[in-house]
Formats: sequence, structure tokens, C-alpha cells
Amino acid sequence: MNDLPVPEAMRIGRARLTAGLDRYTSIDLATHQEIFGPMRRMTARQLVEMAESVDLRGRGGAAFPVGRKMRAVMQTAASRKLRPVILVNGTEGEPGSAKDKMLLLRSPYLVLGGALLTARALSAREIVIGVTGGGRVAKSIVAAAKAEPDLRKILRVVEVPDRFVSGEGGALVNAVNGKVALPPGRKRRASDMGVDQLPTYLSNAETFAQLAVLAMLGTEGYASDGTAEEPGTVLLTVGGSAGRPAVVEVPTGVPLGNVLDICEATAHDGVLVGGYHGMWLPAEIADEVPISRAGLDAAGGALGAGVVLPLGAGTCPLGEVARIVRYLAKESSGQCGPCKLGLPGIARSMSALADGSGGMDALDAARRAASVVRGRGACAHPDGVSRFVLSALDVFTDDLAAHLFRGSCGQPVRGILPLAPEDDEARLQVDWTRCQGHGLCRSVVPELVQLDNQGYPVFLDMPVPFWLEKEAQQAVAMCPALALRLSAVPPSEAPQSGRTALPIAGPRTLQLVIPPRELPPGS
Amino acid sequence: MPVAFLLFIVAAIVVAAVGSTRVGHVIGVAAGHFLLYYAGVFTLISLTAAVGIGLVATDRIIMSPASRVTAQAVHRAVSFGAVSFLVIHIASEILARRSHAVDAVLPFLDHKRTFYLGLGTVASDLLVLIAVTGILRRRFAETSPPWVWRLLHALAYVAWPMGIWHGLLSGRHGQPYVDWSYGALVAAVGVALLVRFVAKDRSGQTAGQPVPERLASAWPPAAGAAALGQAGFGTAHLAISSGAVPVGRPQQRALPAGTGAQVTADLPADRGQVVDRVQFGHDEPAADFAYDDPRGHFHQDDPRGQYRQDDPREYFYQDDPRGQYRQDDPRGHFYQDDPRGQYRQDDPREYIRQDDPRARFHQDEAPAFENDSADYEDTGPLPVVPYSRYGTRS
Repeated sequence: MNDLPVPEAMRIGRARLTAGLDRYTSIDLATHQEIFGPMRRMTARQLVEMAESVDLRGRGGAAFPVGRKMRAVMQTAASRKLRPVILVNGTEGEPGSAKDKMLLLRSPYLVLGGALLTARALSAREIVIGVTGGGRVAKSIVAAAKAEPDLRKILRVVEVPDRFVSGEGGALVNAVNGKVALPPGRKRRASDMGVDQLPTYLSNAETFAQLAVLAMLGTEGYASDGTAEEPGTVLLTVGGSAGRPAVVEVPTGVPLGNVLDICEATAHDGVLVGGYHGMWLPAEIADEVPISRAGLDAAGGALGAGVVLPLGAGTCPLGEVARIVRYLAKESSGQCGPCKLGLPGIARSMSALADGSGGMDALDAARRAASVVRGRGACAHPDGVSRFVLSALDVFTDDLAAHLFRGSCGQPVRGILPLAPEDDEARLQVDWTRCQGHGLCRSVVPELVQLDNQGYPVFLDMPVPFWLEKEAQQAVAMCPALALRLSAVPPSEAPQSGRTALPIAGPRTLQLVIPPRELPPGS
Repeated sequence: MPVAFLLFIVAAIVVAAVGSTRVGHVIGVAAGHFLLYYAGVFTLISLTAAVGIGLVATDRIIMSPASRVTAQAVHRAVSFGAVSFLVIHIASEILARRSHAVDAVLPFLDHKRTFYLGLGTVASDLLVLIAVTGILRRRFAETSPPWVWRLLHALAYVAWPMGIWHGLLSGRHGQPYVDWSYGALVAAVGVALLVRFVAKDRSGQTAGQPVPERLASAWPPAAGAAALGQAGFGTAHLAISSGAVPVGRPQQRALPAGTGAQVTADLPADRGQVVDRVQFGHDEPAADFAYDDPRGHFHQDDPRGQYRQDDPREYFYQDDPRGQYRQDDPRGHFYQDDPRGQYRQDDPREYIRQDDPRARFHQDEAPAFENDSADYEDTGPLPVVPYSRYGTRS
């Protein structure tokens, strides 16, 4: 069906979401029905009760109870006498996560089935799927929807820019509504005002797949795997230094070490769980911690959206962390002051620690800067970065000591942690033979340029974020020595993932892949 | 941008509508007279301000970087004003038939017109050149050495005095205080330029010291710029003070004896030299090893060479404790003595790990999706699919 490479799927225990993926690259409708049987219909009450009895939580990272969210949508829909919208979040802005893309590419009917089930239960007027992935995921969904007449009538696929923050719920709702895909300044629950100002049930793609599975298995069947507190399975995306990176389906309670083993990975220096808003676990804990929200909480981590990135050996942990913090700073949407000034500051301190130019001052500055941004933004981006940096400083103490006292740990930065490719993005570059230390660039873009003790600029090694483009251009234009330029260079480290980064833009570039009215009749 | 464009169109429509009325016509004629009378004056004033602020913006002694950023921004705004007034000035002069359209571009064409009008044309041409290259400054920063742009921009110090000359002598005669003011401003700018170069010299090379050879090269642009610099028109980078080596082609020079190299010194010294192939290392026996196969000789006496000559893999691990289990299947033996293997065997979820994880992992498990739902539409038994591995790599 599809010759392009797709994420590999593995499983521990019985197959649920990954059923059939051992035989098929991609599951079509007939195969789906052969494996899972026909989709059943349920009433809203049945669905909510089932979700609540197994305590099904959202799988996008925030783990909000599905039942409660559904009740909220039902209440708003009833009081305002409106039919709600089902919004499937398949955007996965996290570079390390592939589970939703894997599901949407390889087993789309599971997600679509879950969405259709929910739509029927809540008598929704429309199902909207927000995806990224450069058109490939969207094509897969559209192709899948064509074969299923019920879906075709109410499905709309919206492609959103592939950015870290565009996966945030509010940003997705904005994108679907034709606005810029950025988190809104004022929190509005999608269940009150979502797509087209209608009450919207918004969940992550895996959550809909879990709902479909729950409906098929029934509560008892669903609870037959996993721990009693958090029954069922979890999709993990294992990458980083893993010899066999894959999306792995595991029942809750299985030790993380087992997952690392089947992905041919070792924890060694540490494992990042929960993605770039998550936390680092040292090897001895990572091997034995049971996979569940409670298990990871107890170990001082967070399951988040199930991203598992073992660092392995032979790479500089602090260098890797600094590289990711620079990326996260660039991925800030630049809307909130504490985030757009604070994150480059954290990135600068972490980079200084990693390259040995920082010392205790940089460590202090990093800790303070990471602590001060918490809770001070429209979305949870600064909080997540803060968590990520502080846990890295806690876990990589040996490496930190080496960097503080010897300047370096002696290991190269291999770029184990995946990033979206950055090669076409412009960076500020200086001709050192021309630079005379006038210092105007620092006055214009302090976020990207600071001065050293001699008054010469120190650049933050990251592409110019879109919200600093104007200032960066001004710095180039104002440099008295004509020493600055703004051009794209291949980043020092090769990109680790094949994701394509779309530039952030207004509604014009939002591609409505297949609006419901334009669907070909009866194909 | 579209908003500004819209505003412009609205303003144009309003002006056209007002202009079509009788009162509007009167206002329009009055405005035309006013601009004919004053546009040139405004051009000269804003050009003077642009030169002054531009010079101030380069100062490193009094100005902080932040105020220099502001000064640059003001310099740009005022320069834009100067060019705008220049366009109005030229257009109204031509419309009033006081000069010909050709005068806007080409100077000194007609003997009937005065020399001072031609000066204005030259100054205007230069100003347009400076404005265009100013807008393209970024391109220059990327593609050419800094002096190219600087030289072009320093033409302002030519255009401005010519503009003053034109302004004071071409049209009506001004008040004496106007003449004195412009004279004072030219003097002030001259002093400021001097300060700029002297201050730069302090930070870089001090005046009176031997000038680096690269500045005295025969490279024509540099030499030209150096001459400009001496005349006070260049920039700090190119400024040369007294005691300079005479500008000219470098002579052929011999390298110190024994190096065996010869310089063909026809090229300027600062652009690299063509040197004959240097045969260094005459006395070194090092050349010997290169004659034979380097690898063969190189390792002959080297203890490491012994096993390297043969297949490294056979010998390499012989004495290595790790070699013992590497020779066999790594997965089979690997966990034998490994503490990790131990805990796995006692693991509560032992069915996962008891046997070799790679081979038999799920062999005995019910492979298909299990449908335990009581009220589920029964579609018969689900297909039983044997699993040979966990997943499919595609």
C-alpha cells in the first residue's frame, strides 16, 4: 500500500492497538474488520461509563480523564442545544514521538473508528483530524476515509504547521478555525468553545484508538491486561540510542528495562521519559521502573505522551541537553515575554555549561532561569522546558562535575536526541575578521547575542526563530563593520529524524486536505 | 504593508477630490508654489541632518551601543526625508519649467544653464546612488568586502558639500546667517570626521607607527581608498597616517637562505604569494618510509603489527575475556552471567522474559485480538495468527 518507511511497531504481551501490524505495513478496511470486527454503536452514557470504569485517560501527555471530558462536552452541548465536534489531535509536535503517526499511517481505522464511535455517541456534527507530517499522514487518512461511507460524510482533515507548540490543544483549535496555529493567550476549554465555537471533544489520536479498543473488548476485557489501577496498554515511542527504534505497545506495569531490551537499547547515562517536556531517569531506576503514570511518578519521572529516549553511552549528556534546550527555545511561539526571553537565557547557560565556558555562574543562572519561567506562559511550554532542564541537572551530576571542573567530559555530542531538521533555517553568522566589537547586535537582539568580556559577540547557536527574524535582519543591517549576515548553514549536527518542519504561518498555508463538501461522491 | 497602501490610496482619492473643487484648486496652486520655493531648502536641511546624525551614529566614545542603534534609525528616517524632498524639489522645478527634465539626471549639458545647477544634478545623482546602495547594504555585507559599501556611502561627503554649494549659489540669494550656518556645519563635520579617525587610530594602530604592509599594497582599490582615507574621506579601516610606505608594487624579495623557495612577488603582498614548491625536510630520513609500502614497514617492529597482519578478528579477541562470549551468539550467552538476567528470571512478569527474549517471546500466547466483550456482535472466531516476531519492519 505504501512503499515509504513507516515507524516500526512492536509489542509486549497481547496485541491491542498494534494487532495486525506484524503482518501488514498498513491495515486497510477489510483487514481491519477481519482483525477487529465491525464497529459497534454505543450510547453516550455507555461510552462514558465504560471510560470511567477503566479510568481511561488522555494519551497526549496531560492524562485528563476521558469520561470527565466527555461529560463536559455533553453538558455544554445539551445546555446550548448544539451538536458537538470531535477533534482528533494527531499533530505530535514532539520530535521524539511517532506513536500517533504510526497509528494514523498503519492502522488508521482504529483511530477513525474510535472517533466515529465517539461522534455517534455524542451525535457530533463533524470529526476533524489535525495532522502534521508533510501531507503523508493526511493522505493516509483521506485514503482510509474514502473506503468508509460513514466517515466520509463527516470527516475533515486539517494539516497544521509542524511545530513543537502547535500540538497544544488551544493551538490546534486555532489552526482548525483558520487562525495562526499558536496557543491562545486566554485559556478556553475546547469542551466549551472549540472548533467553530462549538463544544468540542478534543483528544489525542491514541486516546481514540484506546476508546475503540475499549468498546470492542468491554471493560473486563480491557482491564485484563495491565495493572489494576491503570488497566490496559500504553504506546511508547522508543528512540534515541536504541538500535531498533520502534513504537511499542506494553501493558502497564512492565518494567521499562524490558522495553529498552527489545528495542536494543541500554539506559547507560540516562533515559528521557515523557519527551522534551519530560524528565530524565538514571539508568538504575530506568531499568526497573514499571511503566505506568503512578510508577513513573514514584520514580521521579513522568510518562507524558510515552516518549522514551535512552541516551546510551558515548555522547555528552549536557551537550545533548543544551542542544535540545536551544531547539525548545527556538520553538517557543514568542508570544509570552517570560518564555521568549527566558528560554534563550536557559539555552545560553546550558550551552555555556556544556562547552566549558560557563562554570558555577552558568549553573546558577541555568537553575534560576529554569525556575523562574515556570507557570508564566499561555501554554505549558516554559514549564516543560524548566522540568526538562532541572531534571537533567539533577540526574547528570557526574557529567556536570566533569564539565564544571575539567571543562568537558571528553565525549562528543552525537545528536542522539531527535530534532526536526533545521538546515533550511537562517542563522546569524559573523565574519570574525570584520567584527570590531561595536556591540550594536547585542542591543538589537539580546536574545541571540550577548557580549564577552572583550565586548565581542557570543552567539546562541540556534536558527533565528520566526519571532526574531525582524530584529535579526535589523542587526545585520545595523552592524557598523558589515560583519553580520543571516544565512542558512547546515547545523553542526545532522538531524536525527526524517520529520519535515513546516514554517509557521497564518491561515493561508493551512491546507484543508479534504473538506467534507468537496469529497468525490461515492468513490 | 497593505494597510499603508490602502491609506495611501484613500489619501490620493481625497486629494484628487479636494483638488477638483475651486477652493481645492487654489490650495493646490499655493502648495505648488510653496514646494517650489522651499523643497530645495528642506532637502538641504535634511541632507545636512542625515550627514550629521550618520556621523554621530558611528561614534564609539560618547555614544552607547543602544543610542547608536537609535541614531542609526534616525539617520535612516532623515535620509529618507532628504531623498523624498529631493524628488519633490526636482519634480516641481521641472513642472515650473525652470529646468529641463534632462537636468534631473545629466549635469553640465547646456551652456545656457549655470554651473551651479549642474552641481545640484551631480549631488542628486550621488544621493540616489547612496540611497540605493544604502537599502542594499545587507547584500553588500554578504557579497563584497566592507570597503566597497563604505566607499559608496562615503560619497555623501562629496554630495553634501556640492548640495550646499548648489543650494547657496544656484537659486535666490540667502541671508548671510544661512551662509555662515552652512559654513559652520561643514567645519563641524570636518572636525567630527577627524575625531572619528583619530579615535579609531587610538583603538587600532596609533598614528605615526609603521603602517602595515597590506595597506600600502598596489591593490588598486585599497590604494585608492587609502588615498581617500588620507584625504579624510575613507573609513577607519582604511585610514592611513603619516609614515606610510610608498604605494607601489612590491619588489622581488629573496627568502632566507636554505628554504629553497622563491617568491614571484608580482602580486600585491596582501593577496597571497605564489611560492615555488618548497622541498622541506632535506635532512629528514622520513622520506624513506614513503618509498615502500607504508603499512608493511610501518608495523614491522610494532608489537601491534603482529596481529594486524593477519585477520584481526581471529587474533584480536583471543586473550580477551570478552571474546569468549562474543564468538558465540551474543544473545544466547550474553545474559548468562549478567545480573540483569537474574532479575529478569524472577520477574513477576516472567512469562515475558523466562526464555530467550529474542526467539520465543510470544510463542505460546494467543496471538489474535481478543474479543471479550459480552455484547459485541459476534462475527465468528477471529483469525489465529502465529507470531514469529514482535512486529514488522517495513
